[in-house]
Amino acid sequence: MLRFAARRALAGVAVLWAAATLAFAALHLLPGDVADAVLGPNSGAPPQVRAQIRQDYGLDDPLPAQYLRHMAALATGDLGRSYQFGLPVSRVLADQVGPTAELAVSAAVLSVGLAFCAALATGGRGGAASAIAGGIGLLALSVPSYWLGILGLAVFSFRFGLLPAAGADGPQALVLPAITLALPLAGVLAQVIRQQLHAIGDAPFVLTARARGAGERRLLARHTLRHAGLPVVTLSGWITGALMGGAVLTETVFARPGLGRVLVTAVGSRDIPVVSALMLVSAAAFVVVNLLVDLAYLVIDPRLRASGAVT
Amino acid sequence: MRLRGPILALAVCVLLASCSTAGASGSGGGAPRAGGTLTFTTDIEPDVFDPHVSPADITGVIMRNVLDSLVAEDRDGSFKPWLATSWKISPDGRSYTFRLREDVTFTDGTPFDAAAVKANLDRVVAPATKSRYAAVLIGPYQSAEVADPHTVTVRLKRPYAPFLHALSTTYLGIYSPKALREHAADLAAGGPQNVGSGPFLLASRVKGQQAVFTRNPAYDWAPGTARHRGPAYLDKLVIGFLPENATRVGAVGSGQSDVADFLPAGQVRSLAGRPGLRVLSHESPGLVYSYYLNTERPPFDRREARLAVRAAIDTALITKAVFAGQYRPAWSPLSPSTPAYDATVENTWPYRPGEADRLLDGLGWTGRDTDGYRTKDGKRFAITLLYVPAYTKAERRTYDTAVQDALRKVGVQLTLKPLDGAAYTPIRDRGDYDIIAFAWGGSEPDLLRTVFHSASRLADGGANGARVHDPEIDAWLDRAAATTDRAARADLYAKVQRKVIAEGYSVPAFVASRQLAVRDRARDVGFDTSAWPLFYDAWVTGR
Repeated sequence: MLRFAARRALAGVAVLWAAATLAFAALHLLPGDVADAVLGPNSGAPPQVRAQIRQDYGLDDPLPAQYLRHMAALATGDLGRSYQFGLPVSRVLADQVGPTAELAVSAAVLSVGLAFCAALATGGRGGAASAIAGGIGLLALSVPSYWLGILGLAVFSFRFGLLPAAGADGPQALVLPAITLALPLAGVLAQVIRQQLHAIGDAPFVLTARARGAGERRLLARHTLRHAGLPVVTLSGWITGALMGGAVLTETVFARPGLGRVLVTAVGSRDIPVVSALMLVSAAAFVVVNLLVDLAYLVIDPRLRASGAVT
Repeated sequence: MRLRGPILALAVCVLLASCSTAGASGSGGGAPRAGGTLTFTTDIEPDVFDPHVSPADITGVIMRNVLDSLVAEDRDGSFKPWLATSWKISPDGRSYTFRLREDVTFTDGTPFDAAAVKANLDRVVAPATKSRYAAVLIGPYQSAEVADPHTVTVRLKRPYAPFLHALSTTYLGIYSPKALREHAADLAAGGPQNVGSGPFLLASRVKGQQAVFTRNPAYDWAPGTARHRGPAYLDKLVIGFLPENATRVGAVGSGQSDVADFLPAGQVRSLAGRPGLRVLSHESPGLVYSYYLNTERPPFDRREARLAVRAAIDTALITKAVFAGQYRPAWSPLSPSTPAYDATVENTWPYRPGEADRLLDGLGWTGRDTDGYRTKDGKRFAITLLYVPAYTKAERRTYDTAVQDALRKVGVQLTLKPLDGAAYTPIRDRGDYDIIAFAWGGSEPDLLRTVFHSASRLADGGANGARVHDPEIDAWLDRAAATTDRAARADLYAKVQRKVIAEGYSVPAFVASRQLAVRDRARDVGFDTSAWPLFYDAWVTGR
């Protein structure tokens, strides 16, 4: 187990390094000048200001030197200084991590919960109930979350005044954004779980259990649900990505502070230090999620523990 | 996603209208009362809260609440005392001596004096500040000398008539020198460290959400242009950032916000009819949204080509369609609300597609290819407009598309080419384009120098998008900048406008208005000369 953890940690560091390098390369290989990105297209800056910027950010140094300096700084935990905001990146991001994490975690919990409820309510049975549930699931996953957000606002905030339209003050402000982000995700997950439940309905071990007289409830609790849960765990990486991508739109519609909005403006203005820091943050999130997934497999699927497949 | 905005916004509007919120809030008129909170929501959030550094309009609007200026500009273009009680301009126009108020204190307790003025101006021009606009605004600044604690003399390298206007903007607002010394690097973030002598303090800021201001109870030095004296009426001013039009409009419609900024033109009419709401409109002064035709290379090095393209675009019709009748078509590079606007150019260049055809035929573009575009010697009449999507509002892009369509009708192919900011700038700076388009707010007609003087090259921080080299225009602009005689200046700027129109250096498109939706409880939200909202005189009923 210790060797497993050490190997995973090393792999994690490699992923982070690759992410930082990719971010650096992508943004430096794009056509155009970083100094122009710092200034923005609508500024009237004289050449001296441009020269000052080039000097301050070391832009006149050869690219390898800039790369090494960037990496060395990252290694010491220094994320650099944002071009766009003129502030240390850590300060730009510090207040934004919390709201995004809050949104992502609540949306994840909500979507997984909803998906299991929907699948369980209808999963075992065929016929009309199942078809209706399937239809609702399909609708939920195909509705753009952007539209869902605006609709939620129009009804619950603007019409009935139950929930605030914007911001991140308190749990009420989290309700609409979290639902907006969670619903399409729940739609996908419910479909996956339902299909899995359906597929294992005829599996030998289910037949055996039935033959031994297990009721539907016991069957679900002890056997089939575990199996149906596996693909959800496998999809964790995808879920993490969907949450991060969805957060961009959700944060914009609800004017929530968060990393998603910072990322959009940073990419638009080629704010390299911020973009690479955000790539690092999301890479780190993926590393952690994948580690948790592997651990979850061990818990869910006893066969893996026995065979020692992941040690 | 940006393009879907208006449609969705419309859908929300219909939804809201059918729900019909009942009952008007607010009361009758009455005298202003102190107290309460006003919530103002706008669309963009400043990257940098320090107006000495940032060129953004929004930074200027927001920080006006915190930073005072030496002088205040009135609607008619005259200047009123503010932190300076009086000023004298030397006969050669190169030095300005300001007599300063003696009773002003910054909100950190530091007294305001001549040294504070010097510290601020010196900071703006210092290269380390990396000022992207303020430094350009006081271009010929040479030095400031402290004559006595309450007298400061500013010396300029050459006469510069727009100097008082520059000083009146937030970009040259006066910080506490203590804040400049101790927090120079933090001013960009926006927070209690941004200390000025203004009617409000910047109490807190949540990035991505809002900035909160609280009243400066000691304030007693309002500008000569304000409606009242003493502290501001509002206890608290909350400026929220709601980038999504539908959310912003919905928030003011449901009373979660008192004022919504930048109404989409298509929704003004429906909002104006709602009980409890009214719409305030103020035409923005400055340079209107114009297409600048690159006169340095074919085809727009030929005057006929420029006039042909202009004659082919029905700006009146497009403006009406794109902005639902809310904005006016433009006739001059300057907006009508700018001092020195020349009304004689109005209606002098109407839509005449026949004239466009005649001019293009005359230039030899007589052939037609299989797509219906004009050709000459086997080459198609094809031109490109560069733009940066991140900095182009959806409505402008719709406008550009309508222009593209109009030009197709006379056989001209216009390609709209999107680029990201960093890729755009070098191409723009070396003039590798046919058309670029932009608007520029401000109440100073010297903006004409920024876009039409041959020395205002894009690479040097100017905005001569048409790459005009016109000795006559240069001479008029130089003379206008060197004289403080307002009548003479107006006359010179009128000449510039007429020549720009006669030569077709640019195609003025539309005059934008700043439109606010205001709930009844919010009173006396003002506009400054740049059509920017002002909150010093604002007050609220109830709560």
